[in-house]
Amino acid sequence: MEADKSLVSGSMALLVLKLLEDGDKYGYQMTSELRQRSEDVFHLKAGTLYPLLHTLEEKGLVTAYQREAAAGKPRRYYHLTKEGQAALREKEAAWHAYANAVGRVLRGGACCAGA
Amino acid sequence: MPEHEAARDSLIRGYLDTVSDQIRWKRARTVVVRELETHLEDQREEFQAEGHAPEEAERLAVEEMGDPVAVGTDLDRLHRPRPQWGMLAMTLALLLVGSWLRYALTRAGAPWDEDLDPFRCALSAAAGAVVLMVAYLLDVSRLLRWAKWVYIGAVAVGVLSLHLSPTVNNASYFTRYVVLFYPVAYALWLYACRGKGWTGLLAAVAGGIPLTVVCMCAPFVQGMLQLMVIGCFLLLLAIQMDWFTVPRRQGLAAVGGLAAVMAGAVMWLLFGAGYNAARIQIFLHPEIDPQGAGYQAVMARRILGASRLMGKGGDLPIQLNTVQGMELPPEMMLPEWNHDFLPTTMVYKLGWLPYLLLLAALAVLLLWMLRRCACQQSQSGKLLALAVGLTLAGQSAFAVALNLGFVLFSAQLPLVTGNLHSVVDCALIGLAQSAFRSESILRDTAVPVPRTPQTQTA
Repeated sequence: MEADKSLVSGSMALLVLKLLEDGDKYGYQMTSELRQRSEDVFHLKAGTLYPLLHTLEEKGLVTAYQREAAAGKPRRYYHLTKEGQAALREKEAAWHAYANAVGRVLRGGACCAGA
Repeated sequence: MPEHEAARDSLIRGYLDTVSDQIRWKRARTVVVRELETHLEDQREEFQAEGHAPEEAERLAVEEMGDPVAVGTDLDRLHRPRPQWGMLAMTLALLLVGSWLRYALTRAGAPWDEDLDPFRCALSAAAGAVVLMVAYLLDVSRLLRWAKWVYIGAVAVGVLSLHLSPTVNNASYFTRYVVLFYPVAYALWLYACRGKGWTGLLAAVAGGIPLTVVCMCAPFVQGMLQLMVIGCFLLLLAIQMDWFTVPRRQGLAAVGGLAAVMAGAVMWLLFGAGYNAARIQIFLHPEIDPQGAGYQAVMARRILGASRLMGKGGDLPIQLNTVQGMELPPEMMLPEWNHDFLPTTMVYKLGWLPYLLLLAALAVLLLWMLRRCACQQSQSGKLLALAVGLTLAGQSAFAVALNLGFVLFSAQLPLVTGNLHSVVDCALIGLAQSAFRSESILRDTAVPVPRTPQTQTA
């Protein structure tokens, strides 16, 4: 099942930063890994990924460097900077707060305490 | 080429060309499209591995990329040259002020010095402006691509200048201008040595030797010391940025130790004994030989002492030089009053305030450049621009000290002193501004960072 685009777009930067948390990766690697880790929910198009990566790079959240991958092709790897790690923590906390709030509403738990 | 392969290529090419067409900055196209191309190839190979026919794999891979016009438009927005109009305008303003000062302050000496000719001053301003713009519009990424050869060329030009240049004051005249480019040439050499481990680091250190030797042969001691200090700083920074992929602490310790030994050796060679020791003595106490080695410093201090906050300074309590029975202006008692000591002449003829304002403007330009270096995303661009900024800062510091009566080396105030010197300064500043302008595409030439990349396992 693919995710609703409007739900995904706002959190794409968070997902991309998260992918880089455990090591440097190149673009194609990120799209494959995102698909695997989301169990085929997120199909990130390259046309969305690269402008996003370049924006994150411009903001100093990631840096890039050229290196040959195992197959011998030169790849552009992305690396999470310290600022990127801080932004990731911030976005993660915001996401958890948001998801919990949505969860509480959907579950229909205690509300209207004053009513 | 078989027909089906040509069709496949045309599909990929067509996609990449459409993306490319949306990117208005031509220099950015290759850099950006290369990344998309490898992505497309990876995607195609994966589809083929899943059992799709080559043509089908190609078509699916292109479909996976998304709308080429939208992708290109997004990338166009991100990859634009970053104009440096403010910095350019300030450089041009300082260049014009410097040319006017050279003409206006020294025209009394024009009959004896052809370099003070108003036409030459105007020509240097025009040439400086042209050189500034040419360097500004230069494709720095190309310079980086040919880094090794640019370095070799710089050494070759230095050696040639040693042999071909006229000798002035026992030094090769043009070599001192070539040497001003050497910190930049060294930054390019460091770039050429990156990613090669300890061998690269060793080559990086060795690359400083030919440049230093050219300075020594000139001889141009101030240029040599400046090159060594800036070179060590750039090398340490390159290690810090992991350009050589060696353990950072070990690399820094090795180069730091080497720099300390080198500094000791230079100090001992230059100032340990003999002539240079006497030079230090005169530098600190010029009054012990006011008519000999300390004459310039003593005279500069006298002229500065007679200067006012605004306007022309007072009379000097000394016998002025005369030519054909006519007394020469007091500032002309100072040798080099129209070149290295032009700032002293300025203080005497116009006052301290205009001079301090000029220095403040120069300091703002340099600090602006250094601040931009600190914010620069591109490591190579940062190193290049730093080489320029530190060269000009070093020149300025030596020139200010000289013009306060601390005479150790000949030094020229950037964009102010000397016609040819101002043109060279413009070339350097234009180069740094070009690196700032091209920041978004220079990022692609960044070098490995410490964390190990993950290999594709899918």
